[in-house]
Amino acid sequence: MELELLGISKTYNNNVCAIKSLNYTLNKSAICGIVGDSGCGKTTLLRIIAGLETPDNGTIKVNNNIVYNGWINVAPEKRQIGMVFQGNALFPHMTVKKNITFGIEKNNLNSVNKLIELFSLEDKINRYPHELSSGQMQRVAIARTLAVQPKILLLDEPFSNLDLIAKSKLRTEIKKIAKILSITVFIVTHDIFDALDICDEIIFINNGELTETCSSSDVKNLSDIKLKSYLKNMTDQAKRFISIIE
Amino acid sequence: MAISETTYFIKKIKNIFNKWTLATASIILVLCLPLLAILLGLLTGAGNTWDHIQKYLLLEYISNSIYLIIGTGILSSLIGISSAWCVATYNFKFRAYIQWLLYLPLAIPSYIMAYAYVGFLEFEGTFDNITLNTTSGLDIMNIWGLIFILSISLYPYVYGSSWVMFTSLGKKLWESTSLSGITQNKYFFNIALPLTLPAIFAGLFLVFMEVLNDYGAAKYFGINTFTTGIFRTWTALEDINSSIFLAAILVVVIVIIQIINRFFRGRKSYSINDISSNSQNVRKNIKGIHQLLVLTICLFPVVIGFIIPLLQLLKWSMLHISSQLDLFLFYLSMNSILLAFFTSLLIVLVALLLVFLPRWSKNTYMKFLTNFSTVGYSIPGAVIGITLIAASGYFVNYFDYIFNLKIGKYIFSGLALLIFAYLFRFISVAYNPLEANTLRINPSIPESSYLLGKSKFFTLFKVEIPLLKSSIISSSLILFIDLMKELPLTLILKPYNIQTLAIKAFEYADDERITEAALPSVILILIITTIILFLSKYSKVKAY
Repeated sequence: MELELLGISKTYNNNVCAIKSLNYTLNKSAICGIVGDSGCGKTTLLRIIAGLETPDNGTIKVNNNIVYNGWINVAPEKRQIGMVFQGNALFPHMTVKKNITFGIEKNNLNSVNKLIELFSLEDKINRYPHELSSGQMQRVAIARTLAVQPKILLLDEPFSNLDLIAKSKLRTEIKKIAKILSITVFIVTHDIFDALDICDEIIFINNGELTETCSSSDVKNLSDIKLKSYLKNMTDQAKRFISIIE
Repeated sequence: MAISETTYFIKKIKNIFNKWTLATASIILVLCLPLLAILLGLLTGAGNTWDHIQKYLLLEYISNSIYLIIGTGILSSLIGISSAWCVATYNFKFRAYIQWLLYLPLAIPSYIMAYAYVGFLEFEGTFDNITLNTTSGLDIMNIWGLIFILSISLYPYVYGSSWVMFTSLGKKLWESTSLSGITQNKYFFNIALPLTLPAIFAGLFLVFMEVLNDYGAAKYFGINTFTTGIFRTWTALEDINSSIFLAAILVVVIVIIQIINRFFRGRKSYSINDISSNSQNVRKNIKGIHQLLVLTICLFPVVIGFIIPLLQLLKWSMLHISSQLDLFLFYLSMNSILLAFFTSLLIVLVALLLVFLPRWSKNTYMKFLTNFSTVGYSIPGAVIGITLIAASGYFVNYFDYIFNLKIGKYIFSGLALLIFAYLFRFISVAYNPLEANTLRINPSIPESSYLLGKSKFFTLFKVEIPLLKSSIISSSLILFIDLMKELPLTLILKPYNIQTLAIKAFEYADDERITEAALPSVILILIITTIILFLSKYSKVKAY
């Protein structure tokens, strides 16, 4: 499913400009990482795509169909876009199974069983969210979103609050599932290494402006000097750790 | 440029005025009708008896109301804060029970408390008998007596709000201050009390509103207050315009009290950083004389505010139990329960709509306007009742004049007007806690449901209402208690064929048949006590 963002702008009531005239097109079945500092507008962009926020200007097209242009504003529940929120937003009064099956018809439970299997949640289905670890909660949240078979999946900081092992496991699972379901994925992260690991494309946002776009294999050719020096610094640190371990 | 700005403006308007905005605006408009009618009363001016009222009565209404507010405020604060501090700070025998028993005076409406105490303290009354007729009775039918009655009846508002705050101050705060050598007395006056002030003011504000709302006790004691004055102007002087004008003045006074309350709170921060359950106050174990002293402080309000009046009423009830315990009493009880039950459900439903519709509309003005539709609790029942009678009269005459439709019998002989008045007066009792608890639900939770393809109403019923379950139940029960006790509104607006326990008790007392008022009062108190005890148990059950 192709997603087009044309001239998207958003200013909040207190005159804080969250997104400035952003243009971007993501091709079908690609994984795109949105990278930027805290408060730079990454989450706002996801919420605008999902229909939870209304942009001041611009057009959003999904597979060439307009879902927003000021006159047309397709409601979030009708956009067929799934989103996993930062902090997962599971329904606390429902079991894992009830959470995952919340959005689907009763006669469509087969696909849910597959998802439960894919995310290794078979022995957790009768537990409540507060009885799960952070990693398990995140997997339930993604399974719940995928159960309704969205055309586009939006993940807001899916790796925050996870330990290194859970993080690495979830990255592998997301990559695998995006491939199996051939779904278009947007991942918001402040950690460029998460993006480099699983994304086909990375966009960099700074103060609401799209400053750089590149494929993950192409990241060394970035033109932003600040970003380049940050990457170099991180790579040096990684090298130091590797030398310590070896 | 001009075209793009116009297009932007039109798009913005289109987004603001959606179906949820219109639904919210309609509910707000309907709920604000009594408020508009009261304010119109100010503009249209007083009636022909106003000169008489201004010359001979107004000063007395004002001064008595001020004395009552100040006196009741001081006494209820003393009782409420001291008992709350003891329950929150010390561990003593029966503490777990006493912390809930302290709420029980709320079960006795102040007018019933007044009848009971007059009987208890009168010449050859119960107190006189206990003291072997040495006291020749104690006359409390004066303003000091009314201050005493209202204070022991209303202190639980101050107790409840300050107890919650004292309990949540947290052990870290006490530990860090005690490490700097501060004594417990200094900690109370310099740290705990200032931090609890907003909660105390919130409780006191409710006390003030109840004092201004009181009609039954003030009338029985013969004290002329604003509320009795509004009634008297309408019934005895037969001047509804002056009555509404008085009511409008009272509303202005209440608005000023509210502004002062906010002004005193100022920009200081009273927030407590850590209110998790494991950081709550560690209570100090006490024994011996210290325990006895604390037990006295905590049990004294329960004894004078609940046990003495209840025993007095039970004593009177025994005199008429054989003649009064009949089907009519059962009918009265069922009437009261059903009216309070269904009205509280309706009020909670409207409160839920008022909480969620402005959110769905995403229109910040709607949120602001909602505040106006929830001011009813600050306006005495008598004011609302008389204003609605007058406004409905105009409405009925208008329909008769313009459309030749006689709708008076439908408006005045049914329950609709009374239930609408209850809705206006008590909506904030349900709205405020529901709004506060809705803010605690992570917005991503309902948003997740929308993105899973579910509508706003489906999400409301399947996700948000289950998460608000405990708040909905406790608000409904508090509303039920308020509605069971309510007197002035019911007295003015009830259809002639409807009777409730509160009304029957008042009518007996008004006819000087005070002992006969006891049995309906006792039944009313027992129903409310059951609800309060259930609430105390229920509040211990944790939400998700």
